[in-house]
Amino acid sequence: MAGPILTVADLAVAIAGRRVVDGISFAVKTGETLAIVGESGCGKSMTAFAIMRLLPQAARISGGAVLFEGRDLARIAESEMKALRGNRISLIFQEPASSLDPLMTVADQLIEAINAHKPASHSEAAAHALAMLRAVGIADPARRMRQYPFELSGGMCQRVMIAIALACRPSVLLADEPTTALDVTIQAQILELMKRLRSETGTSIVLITHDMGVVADMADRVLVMYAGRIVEEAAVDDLFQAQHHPYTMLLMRSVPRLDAPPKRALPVIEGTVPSYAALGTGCRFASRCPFVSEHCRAEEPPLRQIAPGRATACWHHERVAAAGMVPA
Amino acid sequence: MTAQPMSIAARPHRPRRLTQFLARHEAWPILPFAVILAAFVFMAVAASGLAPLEPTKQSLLSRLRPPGFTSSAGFVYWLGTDELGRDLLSRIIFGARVSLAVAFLSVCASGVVGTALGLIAGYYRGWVEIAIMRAVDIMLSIPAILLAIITVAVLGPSFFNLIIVLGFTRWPRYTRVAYGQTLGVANLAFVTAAKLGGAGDALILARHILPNIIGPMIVVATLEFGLMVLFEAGLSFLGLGIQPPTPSWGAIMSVGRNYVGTAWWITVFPGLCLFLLVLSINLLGDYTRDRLDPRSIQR
Repeated sequence: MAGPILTVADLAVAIAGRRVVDGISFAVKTGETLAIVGESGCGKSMTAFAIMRLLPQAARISGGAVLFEGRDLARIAESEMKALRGNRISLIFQEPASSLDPLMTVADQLIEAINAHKPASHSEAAAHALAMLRAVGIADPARRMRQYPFELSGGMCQRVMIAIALACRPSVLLADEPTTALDVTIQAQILELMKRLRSETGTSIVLITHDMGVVADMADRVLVMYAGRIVEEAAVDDLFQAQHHPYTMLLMRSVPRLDAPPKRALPVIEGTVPSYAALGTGCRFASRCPFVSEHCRAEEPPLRQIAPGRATACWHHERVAAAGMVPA
Repeated sequence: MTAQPMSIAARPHRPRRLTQFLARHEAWPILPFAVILAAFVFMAVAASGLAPLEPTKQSLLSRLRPPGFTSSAGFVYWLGTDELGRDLLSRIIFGARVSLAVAFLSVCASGVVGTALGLIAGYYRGWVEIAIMRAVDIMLSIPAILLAIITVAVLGPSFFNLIIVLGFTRWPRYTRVAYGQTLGVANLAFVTAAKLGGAGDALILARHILPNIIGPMIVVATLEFGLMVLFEAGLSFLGLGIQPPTPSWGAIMSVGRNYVGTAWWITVFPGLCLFLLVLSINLLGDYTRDRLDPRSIQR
């Protein structure tokens, strides 16, 4: 694999002066799938929207850089960004049903996206749109082209969204919980589709999810986020093998297991994510952490590299990793 | 239980043919009013062909004659004559043209301006939103008729000034509704998705947001249309709207007021027309709202 196609360095996003995303750094290589996991409100989606420069009005990028094709997306003019967005770097959303304009046919929406970046004659654009629908596995694409979003199922809408996102062959695709709103069989189909398109086109994928099953299935590397920061980074197999941050460990334990005795209470992570207003000086996970010490409350642990391609932000990562080996 | 269960899901979404539309029972009560409105529109459009006489042709020898009066030449004045001996029927027919033209043009003017401002306020937010919406609050707190009187006093009464006045006083209604609707639509994912597709603000507003809020805007416009007919009549009645000798229902009634003891028909017939026109517009407006908002059917 070649060098990174997308590099995020020390990215921070602020809402009303509070840093909801803080010091996020990662690199995505060509053809790689990087998963960002974490619970709701930890800043996963904010990170994706910041990269695309589509943050809601109240939020803004307050620091850091997003390097893509030799440019810093955090600094270039909106007109330059407009030329890249949806063209070289694209995004698919959580809610497939509301991501399509209810008053436009599938064909019109696809053609609009194609024409925005690669102006073509109407018949060329329509042919391209048809080919895209076929590529994302929609049966009878010619009929679907003429339909409105309300005539499609959720999975079908998500396929159309993927077709729109990939219509201009972007080199990076950000997928913000693409399967959350779908039932499990459709979820499997969509993930299968994304894998197939990745191998066909070499597109890098940044997959944002809270589903460890999706991570195991899709990702090459994983970033675990907690309260706006990266707490652990590892290759996917290493992460499932051993966790070096207590949050990751507890997150893994809270996934239901087929081999667990039935009717046993599912382990949960006690407490809630601290509000961004209440963040003190220490580790953000300290209030919920079983390994907490004085050091943790006094000083926030930095993200440190502990092995090649593996980093964690915990003072006691060795203790955590050792504890993880013992079955809970 | 005498109420019949009504299946909403079973009804076709959009009737394909007029006969199919008429076959549905809930369309029947509205039909007479649609016919009345169509008749008034036809009257306005074909006024010069329909009116038996010139609306401004005076005949001082036959002033204030009652309905059904027949002149020595054998001409029947079906609705009588006014204080200058003009045929009331002809004046009412031409008056429909004035009423509908003023109402239509002022609704267009205020609707376009108001909707555009509402879209901008709801989409861009920030100081633009504050400026536009505070202006709306100010406009809505000024008595409309007073504002109209002041504006006419400055500009002088004429057909186009009347439209400008009505457009100027009525735009905030549209802005309020368009603003609220835009706030709801602008945050939906498909708007972000359109940005993702490289669409600019103008394209997003025109292609994605406007079509999604046009239903409520049409409802506001129909209700405003009836109000505009009344406003035109009211301002003309006060002498601030259409000037004589151009026939306007409000102006005819205003003059008729002086003769109401001896020549009741001069006020009654234009008043009746005004009542029927505004009633049919309002009922059709309500019906449109029910059709465009499926939730209100169940209420």
